[in-house]
Amino acid sequence: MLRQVPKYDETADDPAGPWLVKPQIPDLGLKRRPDYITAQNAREVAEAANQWLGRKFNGHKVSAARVERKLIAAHRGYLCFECDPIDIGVRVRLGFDGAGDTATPVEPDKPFMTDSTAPDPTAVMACVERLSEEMPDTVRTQVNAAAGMLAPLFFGYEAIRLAINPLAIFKDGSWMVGNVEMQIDENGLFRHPELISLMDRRGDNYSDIQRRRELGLDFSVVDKNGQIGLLTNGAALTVFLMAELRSRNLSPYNYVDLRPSFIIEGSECIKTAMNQIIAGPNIQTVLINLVGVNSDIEVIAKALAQTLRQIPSEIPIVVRLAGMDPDAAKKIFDGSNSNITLASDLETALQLVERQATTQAPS
Amino acid sequence: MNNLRLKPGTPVLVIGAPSGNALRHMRLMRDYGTNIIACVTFSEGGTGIDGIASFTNCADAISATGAKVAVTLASPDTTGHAVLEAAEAGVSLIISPTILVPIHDTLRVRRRVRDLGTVWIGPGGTGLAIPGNSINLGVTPNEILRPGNIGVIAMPSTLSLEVGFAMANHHLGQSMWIGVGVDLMKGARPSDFVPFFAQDEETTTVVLICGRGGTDEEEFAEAVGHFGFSKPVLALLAGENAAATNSSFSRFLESRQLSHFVKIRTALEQAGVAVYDGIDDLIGAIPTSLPQ
Repeated sequence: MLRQVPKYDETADDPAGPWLVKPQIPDLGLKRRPDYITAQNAREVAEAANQWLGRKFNGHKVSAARVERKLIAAHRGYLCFECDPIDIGVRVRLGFDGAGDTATPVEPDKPFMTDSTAPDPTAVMACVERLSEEMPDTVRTQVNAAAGMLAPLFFGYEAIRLAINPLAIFKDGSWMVGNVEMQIDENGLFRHPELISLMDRRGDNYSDIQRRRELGLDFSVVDKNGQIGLLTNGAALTVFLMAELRSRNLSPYNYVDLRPSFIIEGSECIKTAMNQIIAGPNIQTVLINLVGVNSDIEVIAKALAQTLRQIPSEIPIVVRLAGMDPDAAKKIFDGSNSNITLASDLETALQLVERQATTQAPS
Repeated sequence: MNNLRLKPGTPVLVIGAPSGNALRHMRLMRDYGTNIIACVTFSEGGTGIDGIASFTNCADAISATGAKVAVTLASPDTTGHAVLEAAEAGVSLIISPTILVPIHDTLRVRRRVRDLGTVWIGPGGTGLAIPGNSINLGVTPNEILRPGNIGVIAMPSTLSLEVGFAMANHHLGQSMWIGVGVDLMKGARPSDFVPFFAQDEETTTVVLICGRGGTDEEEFAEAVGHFGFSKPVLALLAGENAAATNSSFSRFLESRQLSHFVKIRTALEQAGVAVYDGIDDLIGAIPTSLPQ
């Protein structure tokens, strides 16, 4: 693992390669994941590390590059288990030598095998065994052996998806897992202290998950020059509000999804989000729109009012609390900062934001 | 899905509501007119909550009270157990508004519940409400419900409630409100309700509030096409325009896997569903010539 560009000695013998130099960043999804660089010698490894280190992908800085020896395999297997919401089970995908890999186009003439089965390790292994009957002998045994080891891990760690690509199968019949993609269910983390401990140790790589777990806060700056800060709950509702602002020619600064159960007196959730928002260089107004759903909107309102009193900022704030009696809200916010305006419904709140942003805009 | 059109006064069992928000929601359901006749708290039992008989397990509660439907207000880690116990004790419909339920719990329970023929709405989502029969099962706010002819299938809870508030402001009522939630792994999926709404005489218009995270909307579109729906079907797909005009917003949505707008819109429109990206546009398009 390289955390800085290595020095290389031109006179020294290069260890046998080729090498793959991979940037270490949180998963950005298949489409946005950067590729690796193939290096033939130590000088090219250093150049590749120099290309990766310090670069940003979707806001995540590359703080390390991993160097791996390129596997020269006789066959490349592909093995994937994932929760299947339609057939209510686990979908198994198998392929080899180019087939089945969902990250690259499947070669049309290669066999690709898939089926859905019951959600338990025995059923999954039986499914792999059945599907792999169509594979050549030189691949089948190794795929089954790998599945026998990986299926219990899929269930043990409560994974949503576990993909092995490639499963490198060598000439002598030995095999090695070349790359693992494992997507863990955040809702099941409470049963896995070992995973929580891993995230604590590698906080840089899991900061988004840590913030959701500890603060009930999902936050991301979308436009660093944005005018409107958002403090809202519900992913879809926040996206809707961002779209509404854009349709009014206003630029949202951030995406946010507060977990209402964390919005209680003394919690850090609102404070953390607000401090990040008011740090935006062009923030003209903050729109706070909260909906109770499972939580009590009055409890949320009290916690919000208390926190806003502690944040010294002159930036105008529009507050709309869905489903709350306007008079009750007014009582709770009495004595709060004078820059807070309460709105009785969403459209009024958006109009107020529009008006305030227009007033605040530099001439 | 024949068990969805519940009659007024249908006896309801609430599981896991001894205190806090769960108790508050149980009282709100009751205030709306829902006939809650039993509670299961697993640990207490006997003494009763707000005068409602309390039991330590679902089988005893059902055999003593005749409850037909269950609402689970249990914690995320116990929801799976609560649903399984209720289904095995014989209720035909279970509503679970609890959020953050582990996916593998849902997966295991959903399979068993399907085999038993029980309809499970959730986890997450706001639940099921039939305003015309004074039934509210879950956490849908009472103030957005009023009797009418619109069948609502609500995926994301907060956005759906905004639609609900807008409906209330425009005096639009629902034949049924079904909040299924946006979890990848869920009990009933939006497409499961298409045959029901196609035949339901109380429903003249169907509204889907999209979530954009998985394949639910495309399955819904396929089901609408398959059933040759004769009633107007409208959908709210929020965020598409903003993503199309702003690259940073578009990249952000992609990173959150919230960017399947084009696929969803195409599938819905090909099935004859009218798609809107704003709440006001959606509300304005709901046919009002029919009695609401």
